[in-house]
Amino acid sequence: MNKEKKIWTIIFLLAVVYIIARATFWGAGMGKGYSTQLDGDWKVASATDYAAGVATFSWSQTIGIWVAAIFTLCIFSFLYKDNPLYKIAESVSVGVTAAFWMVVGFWDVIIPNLIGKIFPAWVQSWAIPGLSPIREDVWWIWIIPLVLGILLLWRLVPVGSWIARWPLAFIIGTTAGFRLIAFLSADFLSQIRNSIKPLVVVSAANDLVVADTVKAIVIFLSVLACLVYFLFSVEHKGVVGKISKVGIWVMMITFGASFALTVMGRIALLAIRLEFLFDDWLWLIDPTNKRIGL
Amino acid sequence: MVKFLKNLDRRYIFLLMLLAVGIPILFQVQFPEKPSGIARDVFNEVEQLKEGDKVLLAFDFDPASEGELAPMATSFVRHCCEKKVKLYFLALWPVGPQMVDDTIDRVIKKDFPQLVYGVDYVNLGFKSGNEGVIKVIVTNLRGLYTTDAKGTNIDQIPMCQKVTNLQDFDLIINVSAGYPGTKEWVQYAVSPYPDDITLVAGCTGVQAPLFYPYYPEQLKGLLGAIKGAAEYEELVVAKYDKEKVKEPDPRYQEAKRRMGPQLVAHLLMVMLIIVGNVIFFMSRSQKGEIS
Amino acid sequence: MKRTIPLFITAAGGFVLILSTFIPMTESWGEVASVWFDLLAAIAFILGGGNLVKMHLKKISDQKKGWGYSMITIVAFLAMLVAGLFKIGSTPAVDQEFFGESFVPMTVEELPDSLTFSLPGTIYERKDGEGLPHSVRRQMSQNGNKVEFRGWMQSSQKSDLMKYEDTLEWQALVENLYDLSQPGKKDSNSKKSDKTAKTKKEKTKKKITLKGKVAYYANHQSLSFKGYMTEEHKQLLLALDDTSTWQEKIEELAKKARKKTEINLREIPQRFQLEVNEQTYLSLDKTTKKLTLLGPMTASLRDKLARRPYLTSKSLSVEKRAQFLKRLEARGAPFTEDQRKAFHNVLNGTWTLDQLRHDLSAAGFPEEIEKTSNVLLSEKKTGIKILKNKKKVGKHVVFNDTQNALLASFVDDDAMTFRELKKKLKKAGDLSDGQEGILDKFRENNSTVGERNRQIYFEILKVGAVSEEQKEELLAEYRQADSWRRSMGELYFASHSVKYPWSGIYRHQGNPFWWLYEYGFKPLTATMFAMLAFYVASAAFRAFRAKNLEATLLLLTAFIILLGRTFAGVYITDSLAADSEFRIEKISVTILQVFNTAGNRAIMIGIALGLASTSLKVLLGVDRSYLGSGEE
Repeated sequence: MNKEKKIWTIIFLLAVVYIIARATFWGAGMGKGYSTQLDGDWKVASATDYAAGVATFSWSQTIGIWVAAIFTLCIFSFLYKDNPLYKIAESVSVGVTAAFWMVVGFWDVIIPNLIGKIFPAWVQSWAIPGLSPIREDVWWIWIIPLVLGILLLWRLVPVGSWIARWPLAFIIGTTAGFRLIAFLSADFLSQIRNSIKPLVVVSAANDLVVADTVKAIVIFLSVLACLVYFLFSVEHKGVVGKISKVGIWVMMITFGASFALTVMGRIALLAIRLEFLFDDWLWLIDPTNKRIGL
Repeated sequence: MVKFLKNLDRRYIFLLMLLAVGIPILFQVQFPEKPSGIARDVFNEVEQLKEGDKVLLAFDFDPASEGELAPMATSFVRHCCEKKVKLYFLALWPVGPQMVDDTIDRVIKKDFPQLVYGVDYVNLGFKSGNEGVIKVIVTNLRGLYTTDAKGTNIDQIPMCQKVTNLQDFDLIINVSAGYPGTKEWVQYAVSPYPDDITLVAGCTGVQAPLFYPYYPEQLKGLLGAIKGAAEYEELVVAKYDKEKVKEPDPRYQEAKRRMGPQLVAHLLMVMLIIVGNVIFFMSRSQKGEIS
Repeated sequence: MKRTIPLFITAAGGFVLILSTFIPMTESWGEVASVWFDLLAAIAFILGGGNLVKMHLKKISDQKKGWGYSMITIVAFLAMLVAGLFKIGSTPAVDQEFFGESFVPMTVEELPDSLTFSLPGTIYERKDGEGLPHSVRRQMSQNGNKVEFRGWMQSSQKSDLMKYEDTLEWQALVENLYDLSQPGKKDSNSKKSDKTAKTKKEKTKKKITLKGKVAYYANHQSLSFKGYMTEEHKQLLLALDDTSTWQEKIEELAKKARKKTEINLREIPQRFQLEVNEQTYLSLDKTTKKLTLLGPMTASLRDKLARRPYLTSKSLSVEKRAQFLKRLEARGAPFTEDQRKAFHNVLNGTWTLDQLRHDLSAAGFPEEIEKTSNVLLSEKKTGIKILKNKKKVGKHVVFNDTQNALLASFVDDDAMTFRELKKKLKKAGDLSDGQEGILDKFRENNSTVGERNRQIYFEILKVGAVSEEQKEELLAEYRQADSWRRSMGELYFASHSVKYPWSGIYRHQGNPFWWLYEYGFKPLTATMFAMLAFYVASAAFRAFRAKNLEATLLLLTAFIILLGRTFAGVYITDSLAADSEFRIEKISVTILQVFNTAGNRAIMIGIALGLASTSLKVLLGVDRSYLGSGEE
């Protein structure tokens, strides 16, 4: 066994011993889940509820916490190197994600908004009792998206999958239609207006607010400089070259800010995963007082 | 030393990052927060609502961005409940309804159990179509939402009876992790009806710089990343806990707790960039000497 | 055709949406196109899932490298899909199950003629062509010069009809039809009793009506009865029609509404007693600890029974607090200063006599209610030009000295309940409906003694140790109340007949789909993204070089924002004045609000122009790349 493997085996064994000790006799335990039953329904409960005597130990929640922790560690193991544990976790992730989206699309959209429009009485009789069973006057119009949907699914069939282009064309066309107006309105016209209005900022008493005016002018000039940089059909020489240089500097400041905020975002995501491991699984911290009394 | 650092296995950097985030979490290191103007604008928009006003909360995020966005979602719901407004939840992301349920369990059911579903708050659920959903409901809510997330006919829900479209809401609060999100709400809801729709948003760090151009005309306030969430939490806690001389619940200080590891990790990032550049310049000058 | 028709579809879809923005008459076309788009997006999820399965099955069948992982993907996919599609473990939707009601199927046509109510009038025809609301279409019709309604009208149907047309004449007609079609108006028993009631028993019999007990749900094609059906109620229902169909349905309904449910109780609270009117359908055997219910249980009955034995917490005087604290400390070690502070903090949060007085006083003012349409119509007919929608009802009720004394003694009297206080206040003077509502609200919305003590326990535990005896003292009542509430919940659920087993939410907490989401999907996706923090650190070390002025500018900005958005920035420039613009946190805000805004604005403008040109190219058929290669 080489040195690296030896070190990892020792670390792994120590970790297993620690976990077994914590889970069995050391302290209040770790990774336990609780539930409570009310009105024929089981709900997740906290350790505090258990300490108060109104919840019971739950095997399904406990196993769930351990499964979540193991999956988390499997994914983190990729940081060391690619390994079968990571691949298993990744495969499970792909499978559950795809199924999740399918189930959500089916129950939240297709049943109430498509089948529920064509056969409202049938859907109302078993799935959505709150739906009105009376068909709309132009209910037949919903047959068109149903047909388009079936054509879209035909893509999976080896023969005749070209027919899926029709619904796809509809999707592309409507997307283009949505976005053309929205982008021109919100991202073009509005942004031009916001850049030039107000250029001179006055207070309610009609006094010049110097700081805000300077900011507005700097923004306006910076936007112009960046737009000059984007003019690739004009050679960036002389005055144009100097202005586009300023534009590049503004863009670099923008990208620097984006990078910094991206870093901030990523670290917060890591923080919540480590919080889950230390709080819900290892019971080393209790920042939200979930385990008072244990 | 320079050679060692130049060829440093990246796994050591991973370990440093793990320690930089893990140790402050273990020791629950926290720092004070000072709210900025843009977070104050969000706070003020919600604070100026009157009892009974209608607020739409669009939770467009998933577990992948929960770390950044759940704290601001929690604070938004708490603030709205304290203001006694009517809360309408919906989601443009498939996992959004789960985020809504979690926030309702975390805030409303625990601290505001007197609020009644269907009278004080309602979960309209998810609809697919991204910006297509906004395009429909901006003029006709019932074009897509005939029932709520539980299957109750929307016309049977007391608080939904007078709501016909997005323009009937006094404020729209969007918590956004990507597409569809704040950009789509601005483009398809605010832009066509700028006088009828008021929008504030909370978003991830990646998106935040992209939304500054919308502020303050199209977007009345913006909470960017965990920092924005921490600032907003501070404002809500100062108003509803500290003013009443009450100890703030740790659930409403989640973002503030996460700013502790943020600071250490940021310092690590700065140090890594500096060290990386020092090594670069040193090895460049060494190469120059040799040549 | 394979490539031409899609071009037309693309153009049609896109231009309909563009036109609908500018031409108001075409707004509905745009809405329809948007809804179709949304539906196709949902179907695309199914396509995605199907494609995934196809790809992985092929990999397994071809035995390609890594096919084992594909097997895992398929298994995980199928587990989640089956659990979600079949709603395994989801309980029926509480709001759709009509707890507390028994149903028998009955179509509108099967309703007896005695349940057809008609009034002279005409169903208004709206100019926009919109028909009657869906909720009434099956029941309401025009019969000659009369408007007919079959079955008992519900309040939701009334409000739908009121919204249908806002003329006073129509609304008055709806109100009158609603009043006419309420159960209890035509009860034959009550007519007989009116004339012949002499004894108290007969007078009591006179009060039994079907009001609030029966309903007809046209959308569910069901006749419903709420709670337990007494023999009198059954006779009233049977008297409505003598056809065999109706008689059989009522017998069936009676059987369901008298179904016996029995539960074993873990313990019976000392203060629990059944009220006289409840003893018709509830019986409690204290020896065998059995509670028996006839018929289904409503949620309000469940909550009433659960809450009844437990007193609402009241504010404690200084002496009572000291006694309470002394009693607690006697059962273990004395509390620390912090624990005492926590103890008092919890008690300070209880409602006070002043708050109760204030709310009761405010509720004593005459209430403003909406006038009915009939009243408004008659006012209009008398020539009143400006009609006022609201009117004040009731008189201004001010508590007399006896009532005020009762309030004061109520707070000090631990054993007096809100119900008893209400009775005594009514005896001692006037009590308006609003004030009664306030008393109910205080009772329901404030914690019980057990809940308050539980809060005390956890607050003092946060700051110090608590002995087992002290724990028992504080938690005993809460545990007992919880156990009692759960027993009522068991009875509530056991006495219910499920009507829509598939109506539950697919992601119901506790079911397999939810479990897979909470402990599979959530940690996996969240951790995948959390990995990015490590990669960004590695990239920062290896790749971010200040090779030129632009790169240096980028890195300097990043440093300022990284430090400025945390406490580190505040600390570094702490020596500067609080309002100085050179503090790092202020500089970072300026960078974001000025330069970042400018840069992103320019990028947005560029993207918008690019998008406009790409969209037009697609819509005009110039760009056909989305159609794929020309091979098929």
